[in-house]
Amino acid sequence: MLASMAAAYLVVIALRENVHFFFNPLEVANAKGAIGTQIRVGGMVQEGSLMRKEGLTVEFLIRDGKTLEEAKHAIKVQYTGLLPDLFREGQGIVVSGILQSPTFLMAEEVLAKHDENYRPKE
Amino acid sequence: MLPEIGLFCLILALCLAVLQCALPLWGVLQHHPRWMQVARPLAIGQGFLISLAFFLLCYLFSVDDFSVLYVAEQSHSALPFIYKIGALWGGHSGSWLLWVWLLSLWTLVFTQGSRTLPRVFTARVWVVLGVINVGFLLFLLSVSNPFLRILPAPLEGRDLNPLLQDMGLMIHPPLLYLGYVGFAMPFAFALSVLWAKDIDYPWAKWMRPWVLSAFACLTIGIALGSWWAYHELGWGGWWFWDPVENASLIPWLLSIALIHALMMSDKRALALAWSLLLAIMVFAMSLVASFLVRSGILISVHSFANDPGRGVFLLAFIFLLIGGTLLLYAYRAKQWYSPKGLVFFSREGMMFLGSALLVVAAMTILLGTLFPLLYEAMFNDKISVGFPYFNKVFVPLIVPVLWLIPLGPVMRWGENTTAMVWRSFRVLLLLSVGLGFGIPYLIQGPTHWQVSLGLSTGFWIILGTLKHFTHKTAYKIAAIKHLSLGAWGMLWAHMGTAILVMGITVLSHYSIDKDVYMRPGQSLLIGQHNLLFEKLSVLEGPNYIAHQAHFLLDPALKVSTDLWPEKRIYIASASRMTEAAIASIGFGDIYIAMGSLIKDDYWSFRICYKPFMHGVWMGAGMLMVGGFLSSIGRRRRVS
Amino acid sequence: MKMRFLGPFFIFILLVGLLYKGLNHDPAGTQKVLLDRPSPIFEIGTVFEPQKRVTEALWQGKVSVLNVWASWCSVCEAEHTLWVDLAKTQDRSRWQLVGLNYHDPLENARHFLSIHGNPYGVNLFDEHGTLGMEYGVYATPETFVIDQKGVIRYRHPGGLTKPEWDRDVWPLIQQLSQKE
Repeated sequence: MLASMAAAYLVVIALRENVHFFFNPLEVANAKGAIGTQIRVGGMVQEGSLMRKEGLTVEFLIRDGKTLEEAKHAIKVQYTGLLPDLFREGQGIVVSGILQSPTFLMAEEVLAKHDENYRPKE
Repeated sequence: MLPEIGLFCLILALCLAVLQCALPLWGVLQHHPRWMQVARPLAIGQGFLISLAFFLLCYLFSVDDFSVLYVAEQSHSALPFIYKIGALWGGHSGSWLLWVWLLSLWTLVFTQGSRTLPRVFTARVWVVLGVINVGFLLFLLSVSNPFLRILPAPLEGRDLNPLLQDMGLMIHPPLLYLGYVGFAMPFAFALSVLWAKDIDYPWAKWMRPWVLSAFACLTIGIALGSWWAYHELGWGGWWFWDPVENASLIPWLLSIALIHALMMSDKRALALAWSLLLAIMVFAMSLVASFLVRSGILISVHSFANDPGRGVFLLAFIFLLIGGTLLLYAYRAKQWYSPKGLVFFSREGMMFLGSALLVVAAMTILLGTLFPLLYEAMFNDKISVGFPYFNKVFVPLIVPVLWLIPLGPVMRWGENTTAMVWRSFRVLLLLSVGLGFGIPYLIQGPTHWQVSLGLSTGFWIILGTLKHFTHKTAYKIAAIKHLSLGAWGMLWAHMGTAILVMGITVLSHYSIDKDVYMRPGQSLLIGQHNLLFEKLSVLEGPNYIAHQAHFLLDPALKVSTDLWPEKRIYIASASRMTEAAIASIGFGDIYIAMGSLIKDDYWSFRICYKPFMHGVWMGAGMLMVGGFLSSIGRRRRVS
Repeated sequence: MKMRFLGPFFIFILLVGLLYKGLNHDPAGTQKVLLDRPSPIFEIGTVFEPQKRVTEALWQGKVSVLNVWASWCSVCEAEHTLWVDLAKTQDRSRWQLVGLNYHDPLENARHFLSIHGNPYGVNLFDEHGTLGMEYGVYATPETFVIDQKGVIRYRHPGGLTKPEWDRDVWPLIQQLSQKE
């Protein structure tokens, strides 16, 4: 019984620190995101937006795809490191990092989403 | 014609499965031996039919029969032969057929293994297995039929996802599933026990070999998945606390708890209700794991395409089966429950504590994995749970379990005094902590306490297990020959755990990951090793084109190693793939994954130094061996 | 029945409930974020001119609605009236309706169009379904919206209804065609 209580305590603490909110670009732009915290953003990489900066650093824009309204709000992402193989302009993407401003995210992780027609298995 | 035959076989198997539920049930209720015995031939018949269907599908893949929709989706004529077979379980319907087929293999083993067991007991087990099979086959035939046709047939298939074109695909899913479905056997046993009133069988003894062998399969299945991710994904990582990985870890942890609970139940008739509950939980979690992967409710690199229709069916089946079982448990568990309780400071106390902690740990992983779902259901907001949560919660829970490992075997059943235990262990404790802190200090000076803790834990387990063994053989070499397989199994498994723990400890603290960009001629220093980027070439493979880099590890040494990382583009699907290059140094690895062309002739690379990576693989392998040895060992003693 | 033994059952019920709820939710907004990709490259004939070689250049310059259909598909037959209607009423300067005849013998396709009318500007003839397979088509009908650069922007499996056209497709066409 003691074990369960200890576990519960650990869980609560760890969870509080490690739950990251997930946004789409429109929500971020509307300052729903907390600046300075680590968040995840899912959207589509804007075509023509990928720019290589110094060394392994790249910048690109993420936007939401469906409506005209949402497409206006693109978030700039800066990432230093290797991009995953599935990363492509015009493809879905999820980035995780610290939000610097309503339109700029410093990414620590870039996760490309799998095309629904490809179904990788465990 | 052939696909229709395959389909027909499955339908027939379903009919037999229904009979397998009904007839032995009738036999049990009416005390009619003949009806009870009919289960065995029915099971054999199902096994035969399902195998036939499975091999037919293999054949269809091997001859590129694109008139079958599933073959067209998963395969391609240019695919190397071995991956055509692997493609069979590359998508949902085929992999479910694999699941069903592997279950039929376990049942076939049971037809032989049950010959010495009491008739009524086995009849009940057959009924339960029949119900499970009916559910699985219905699921297969209704929403995951691999034999669907597409007419007219396309000229070419869509090709197997390049990520899957690796040896790992050939063995990881089959072994993993073998583990998952293997837990259906102890589950069926548990149900059979709960169903009966006033039985006197040593059911715990019978259950153990099944749990142990399924555990061994699951261990190697998970380890292979991890190894495959390490090789294929190009990140140098081997465990991601990914929802699907977690889903497989939960039954694994629970099965360890079950194995030890069964030991107590078998040898001392203790914690019987707990064993039964665990047996139910392990299989339930295996089913939930398969649900999580196939329903698409959790996003992961592993999940199948989103198909809620399948999810509902599977969930309904799980709900009915497990829900019903738990109700039965609630109703009948009382006869197995002894209110006396356990003596805490005893072998059984320690074992029980260990298994309880394992269950708690498994539940925290489940919570962490499902928390996004829970949060969204309550607050309609999307979140994700980060990697550190799992480490922070799981590790503190598992470390006590690890420290309990040597305590159990050395302590006595029943009462132990603290003085006695202290006397047995004080030297060991000093040694373990000494080694754990001393060795790193000697090698590199002051070390992080977590490293020392991890190493101490490993030494503690190793020394403790050795101590136990010297006890058992009373310090006589000759006595080693007479140790039972079960004892050897324990030795391997516990030692394997120690190595695994030490491997993970060293890896977590000392692995180095660097993202760099280099051009041919440049070299890099990592972990006291030199890596020289020699040159870049372009290659053509059977179904891809590749850029290949040539690296030399420690070129200055007499014996230097070559590494050939590649970046491939698969022609049919125009997708990119990384083929990482791995070179072993001692018990660790140097890992290189290619990125892309940066500018001019500079390419980006992820280069990792992974010290004692092999500890993880060796530890897992030893656990598997231990599991298998123990499962055979038991059988020998019974006969 | 002792209460403590019912514990696992209740926890299990909660778990199943949660999972069920999860099924009806949209994981990480996949439905909202379209996995756009450029149209596959192809070279194919049309229903009325099978020898002609039409390529993906077809998509350049105009927003296209690609409708995958077949004469043997009853839902397509039902959906067909919608296309005939839309071809007449919706402003054709902004978009073109392209058909993909899927897995059909030539005569059947032509026969179908002669009876039910031909709203399609161009009707690609995909006798073996290979092109459809490239688009990820499983079953007909299926409708795609492709922009002027040949990137697939929208996908609707199954029969399209007028309300769905009004709500999802037509606004998208307007938005895309405004970009030029």
